[in-house]
Amino acid sequence: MTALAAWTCIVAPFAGAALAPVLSRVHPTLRDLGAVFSSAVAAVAALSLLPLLFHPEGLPVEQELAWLDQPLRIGFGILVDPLSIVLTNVVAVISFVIMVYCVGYMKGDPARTRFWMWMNGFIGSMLLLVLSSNLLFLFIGWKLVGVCSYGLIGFYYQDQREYWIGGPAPTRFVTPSQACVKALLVTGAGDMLMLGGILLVFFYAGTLNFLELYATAPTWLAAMAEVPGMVVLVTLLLLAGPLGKSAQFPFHEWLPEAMAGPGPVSALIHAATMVKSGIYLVARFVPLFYYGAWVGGIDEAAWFFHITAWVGGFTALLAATQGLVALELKKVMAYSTVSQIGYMLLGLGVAGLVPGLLLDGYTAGIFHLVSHALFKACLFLCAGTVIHAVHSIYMTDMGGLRRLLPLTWGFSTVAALSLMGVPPFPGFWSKDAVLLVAVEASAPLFWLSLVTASLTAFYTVRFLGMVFHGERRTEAGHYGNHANDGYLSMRVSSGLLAVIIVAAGLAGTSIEHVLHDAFKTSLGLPPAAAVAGASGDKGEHLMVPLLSVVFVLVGAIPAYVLYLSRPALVPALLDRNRWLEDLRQFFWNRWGIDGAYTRIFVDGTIRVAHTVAGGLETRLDAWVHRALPQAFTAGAQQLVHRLRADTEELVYNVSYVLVLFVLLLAYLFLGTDGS
Amino acid sequence: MSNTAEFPLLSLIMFTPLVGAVLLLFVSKHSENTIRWIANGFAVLGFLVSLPLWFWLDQSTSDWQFVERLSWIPSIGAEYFIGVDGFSALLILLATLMGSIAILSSWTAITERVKEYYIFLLLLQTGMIGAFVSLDFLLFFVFWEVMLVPMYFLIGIWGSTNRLYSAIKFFLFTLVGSVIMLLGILAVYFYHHEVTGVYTFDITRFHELNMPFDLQWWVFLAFFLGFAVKVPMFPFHTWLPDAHTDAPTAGSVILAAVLLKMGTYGFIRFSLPILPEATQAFVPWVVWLSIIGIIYGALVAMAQRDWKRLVAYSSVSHMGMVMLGMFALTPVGITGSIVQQINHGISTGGLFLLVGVVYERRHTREISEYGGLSKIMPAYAAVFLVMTMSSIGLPTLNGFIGEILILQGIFVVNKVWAAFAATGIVLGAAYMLWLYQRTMFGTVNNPKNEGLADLSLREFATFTPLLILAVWIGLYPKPFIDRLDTSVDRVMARVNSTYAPLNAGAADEDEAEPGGGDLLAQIDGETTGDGFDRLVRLPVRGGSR
Repeated sequence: MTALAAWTCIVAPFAGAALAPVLSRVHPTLRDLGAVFSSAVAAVAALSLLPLLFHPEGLPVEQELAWLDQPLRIGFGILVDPLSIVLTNVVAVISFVIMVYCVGYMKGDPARTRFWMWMNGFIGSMLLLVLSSNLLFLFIGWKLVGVCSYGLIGFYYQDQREYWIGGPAPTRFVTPSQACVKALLVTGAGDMLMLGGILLVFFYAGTLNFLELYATAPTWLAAMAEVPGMVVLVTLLLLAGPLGKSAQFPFHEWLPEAMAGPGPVSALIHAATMVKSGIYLVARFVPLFYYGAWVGGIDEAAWFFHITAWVGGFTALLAATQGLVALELKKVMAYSTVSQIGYMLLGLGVAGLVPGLLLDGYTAGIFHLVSHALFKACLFLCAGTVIHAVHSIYMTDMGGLRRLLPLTWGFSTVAALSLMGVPPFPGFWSKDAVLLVAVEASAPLFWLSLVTASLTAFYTVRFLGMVFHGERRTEAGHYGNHANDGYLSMRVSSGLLAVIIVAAGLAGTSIEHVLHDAFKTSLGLPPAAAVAGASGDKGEHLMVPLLSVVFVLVGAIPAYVLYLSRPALVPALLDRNRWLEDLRQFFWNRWGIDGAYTRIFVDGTIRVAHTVAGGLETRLDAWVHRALPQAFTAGAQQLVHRLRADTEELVYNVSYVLVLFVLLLAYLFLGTDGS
Repeated sequence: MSNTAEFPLLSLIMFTPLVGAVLLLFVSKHSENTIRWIANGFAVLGFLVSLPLWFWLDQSTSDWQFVERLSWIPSIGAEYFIGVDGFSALLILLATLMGSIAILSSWTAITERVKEYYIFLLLLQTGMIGAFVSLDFLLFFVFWEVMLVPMYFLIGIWGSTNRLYSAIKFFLFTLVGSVIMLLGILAVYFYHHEVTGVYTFDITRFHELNMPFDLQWWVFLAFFLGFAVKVPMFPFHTWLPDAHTDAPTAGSVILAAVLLKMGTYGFIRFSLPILPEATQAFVPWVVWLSIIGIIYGALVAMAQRDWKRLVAYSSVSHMGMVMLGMFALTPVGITGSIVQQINHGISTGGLFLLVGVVYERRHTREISEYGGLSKIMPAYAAVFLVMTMSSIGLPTLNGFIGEILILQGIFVVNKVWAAFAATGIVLGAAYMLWLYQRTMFGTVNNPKNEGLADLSLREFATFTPLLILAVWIGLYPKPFIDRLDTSVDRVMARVNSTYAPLNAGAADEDEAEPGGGDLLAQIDGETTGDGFDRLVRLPVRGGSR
């Protein structure tokens, strides 16, 4: 039953994708309903797995079919354990809500068949990714979600002016077709490194199956540790994929441009699900490296946690600063997503920094993943509705929208408060969980995340103020009084998410406890890794939530003053303080990282390519085909002459060939004396 | 050693196209449609008669199958000796399929000298199949040379602007390579006589020959020149971009899909098993040339302004991968190499067909002339997307499985090599996606593109088998890989007997004695272990001890 539900999760969306072009022949409405229905099937199947979280004794459930026997043995199967159940539900349920939203959002778009195919293809691939029982099929799902993301970022491939992202001038604009290629290439480079890591694991472990990897960890990790530096190499390679997919430093630069896709696509792929797959994979590896570092006595394994924790902490700060100054509504969200994923990575990283934190850190990271998926999906849907109504991506064209879009305003506020980490919304609980483990593991990381919390509060209040409060900027925007909350399906789905957020917030830490207990069973998988009991005293723990609220206020109050009560102050402040303007410029230019990458990787590669093609290849060609033959006698020239085929009597030439051929055959068979 | 066939299946497959060509001679050159129907009919018939190779092939035996053996030139010991194993069977199927697709794709593209055109295409089919079935080295050589002639005329007569230059370039380059190869063949032939007193070109006997290293070294070099030109490996690739660019679509398709495989086939069938010690000695050279080819080809492809030339250079890069996997000299690497040969035939053949479709409409290959075609030709854009993704190795399409096997195969030998190969794959994704962006995405700026017709039913029919194969191999490659098992074992039994890639100290326990010995016993010994053990035995135990 469990396995069947898991298979249904994977198969239903793919079937929906395949059916879309067929159904569109029958009736467009049927096609739309069919697409939503197939994602509903996946969601129901996922929900049916949820009760297992409360009874983790029966887990894991695995079912595997043979895919290849030779020269490698690789299976194709599903693994249902607490981690995959949580991720499956996040993916399937939120996808379904977003698919409902799309019915309204995409109304009237001529390319809806393509849209539904990519969306359902994405959902199926994502569920394959989280349910796969081995690394190879995880990788296959991983690449497929990347391609679906490519197709959806480039959905408006005709690059009409209204779909450009970036700007305003003089900042460069990016067209959807450029954005999708950028996304696929940046993540693809990470994927290729990750494949190297997977091959290394396979090389030492002889299997890619997760349960077998866990079970045999003592053997293969020890073998790996015998080669100095190997564990670090594997760590770096394996992490490159997740960092690429989850848009973490140094692979984070693709996500802002990925906002060129339709609103709900950003909500689904670039906020709620696909960008979480990196976190999922890191979570899969955490027990292994934890075991290596704290039980197996492999010092190099601790690198895994140092890298994840610091990359997470740094990216959280880096992206939050960029969110402070962004002018495009969806880009603020994108930076915020990158930043929040940094928190999750931080949680998973600190889980292994000191012994005994495994369970708490792991739970915190995944808990934040769940709550972030909820509130960020809701925020993106609301952003989609706003952009739909206002016909502009710039927040400078918005303002005062709370009167025209009251529902969207309400839903956004709920989600935004959760993002800021205001109690009792789920964002508060989950961020608090991350902070609680960070404080025990590393003081610098703890303070780093607190500063980030302030920045988060600042940019959240800022965009709420710029979009929904203040004056309506009718002269700049193209919207009049007809701007509204959008179609019913859009209101219902963003409202549903808001309700779930409130409910999850009221549930408070009980969600965390369920996850905690479920993971307690599953993390016991590598023998002796269960040393990670609950951490000891909770003395300073009251301080942490208090500090977090204080830091939220430190960010929120100035933002309230600047963007809600006295908006005229902002230009004045920037005018008066040169350094503030410089800082703004620095953040606006994304710390110069994007520009540097473009110069090095894009321009650099193209320059090398032209040098090779123009310099080497042309010369090689000339040398082989001109200089060298000229060194031979003129006889070769004569041969060339004889072989010329442009004479009128070419038919004769043909018959020569045929005659030769037939003669050859004749000789072949006449010479044959049937021995 | 061999199962003699009761029914001459291979001869039938080989001569069906030739019968078509002879028949065409008697058709008036003015009744062009009749010619087209006959040519297409025989091409499809050729494919249908080759299908038993898929169904009747015995995967469990390492014997040669469907063998036919007749005396041919008794005075020098040459025989009409043909037979297949899984490897050549798959390549023959590829050749007959791609041949029918190429012939079907020419229906409206070729309007001049239609009769000669189809005669040449059919002759080319016979030549290619003949080379793949030959178990007599001289017979192989004859077919190898025979292929050149029709291809030369196809490029020289029906090609585009620079066709004569390209045709001669192709012909001379390949000819020089093959003449040197002939010297190598003769060296093996005379050495065999010296040792056994028998004059023969029988490849199966050559496979049991243990030549002194010096001789192997020189013969390897001779074979290498012949095969490397065909593959083509850097720096022998300079004929390929011109030949591909100027050939008519069908010519490019066959050239890419099948003729290039002749080189890699030669390496796996002849160089590796006949010259095992020299092969090992040459590994670093071949590997570095392949790596240079992978990256160099990718970079040059990136700089191209000509759509077809870009695909041609991508071929150089991809064939570098094939060679790299092969010279890992591990079962996984060689399997990957063979699978990738088939994949390259499908995806690059498909890409050339796609260029042909727009070239027929617009008569230009300049990438900048296109843009925004997705809007005008949605079906075309969808097929192109699948082929692009297949070419850059997206999982669930064919390219991925070959790539991952090659990477795994090379990885256990040398991680630096694998890193370079991976760089090439990333660059490959870059230029293909950029090509797709420039041609398919964006607004339609060129008014000439506005009225372009989408794929016709016939054009779609040429792509259908390729799409099916791409998805099939991508989703379930097992049937293909299982068919290759004994072929790979045959090569491994020769090459790997003295070669421990990772760690020379860690010899395999259950390995047959080095050197010749009883080949059959070696092969049997290899096949008894299951595939997984064979893999694990090489790297893991070597690494962990």
